[in-house]
Amino acid sequence: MTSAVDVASGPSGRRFFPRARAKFTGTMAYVGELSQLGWTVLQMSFEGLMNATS
Amino acid sequence: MIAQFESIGVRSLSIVAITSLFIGMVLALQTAYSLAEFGGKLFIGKVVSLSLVRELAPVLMSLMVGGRVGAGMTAEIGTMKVTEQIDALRALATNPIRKLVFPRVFSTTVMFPLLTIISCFVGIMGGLVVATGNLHLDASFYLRSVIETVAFNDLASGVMKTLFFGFAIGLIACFNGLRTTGGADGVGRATTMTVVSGAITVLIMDFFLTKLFLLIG
Repeated sequence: MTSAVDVASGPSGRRFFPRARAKFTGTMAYVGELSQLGWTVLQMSFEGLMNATS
Repeated sequence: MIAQFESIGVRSLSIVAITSLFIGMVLALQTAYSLAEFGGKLFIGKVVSLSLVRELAPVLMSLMVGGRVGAGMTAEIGTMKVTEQIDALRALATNPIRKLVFPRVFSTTVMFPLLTIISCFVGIMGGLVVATGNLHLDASFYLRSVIETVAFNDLASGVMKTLFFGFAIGLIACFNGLRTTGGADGVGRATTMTVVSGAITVLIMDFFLTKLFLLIG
């Protein structure tokens, strides 16, 4: 018997929730790129700190 | 960098002062009303100072200043992006992250804690105005209860949170500015996105940081 979870996560789930899936994927990509920028800025801060102290 | 400090810190002082003053006043009034049956007047100094220093001042200051500063930063960088000024910077071998993003994120990270300290002070003074003027408490009693209640840990936990809030707000604002596309319409959309995602991020981070600081002690 097909459960609600199977329907939501299987091939038919993709048909049922395309907008939610696209939104989730977009948000994850946004957070990933934002984290990359944050890491770059943190690295720049550390570089600046090292230069200032040396 | 100094210009960023001025635009983020000094020019936000009025908005921080007005917000904190009235929050302190409302908090004093509500505390007196809700604890009236238990002689709550005596606890106004404790309640106002602790809730302001630990929670309300950092979060509300970050929301207000984050909205103001974040929207401005996104609009500025977004306009530069859609008018291809950032591409021009790259063509001149200048790193736009080093030139545009780093000073802004650094300034928000440094200025948010300083603004929070001012916000706490003004909020407590707002509570004092209501406590003495409206509830007829003695000013020295109110101030003594504030000083006896607020420990260094309370202030440190509130101020440390805003370091993270400032970093996140600056980063989100600059990131949305850098990914702006589609002319004036796109700048408007990016600005709205910054205010919304900045506010949500502050509130979500606040929960986890509060848990963390309670664990640390």
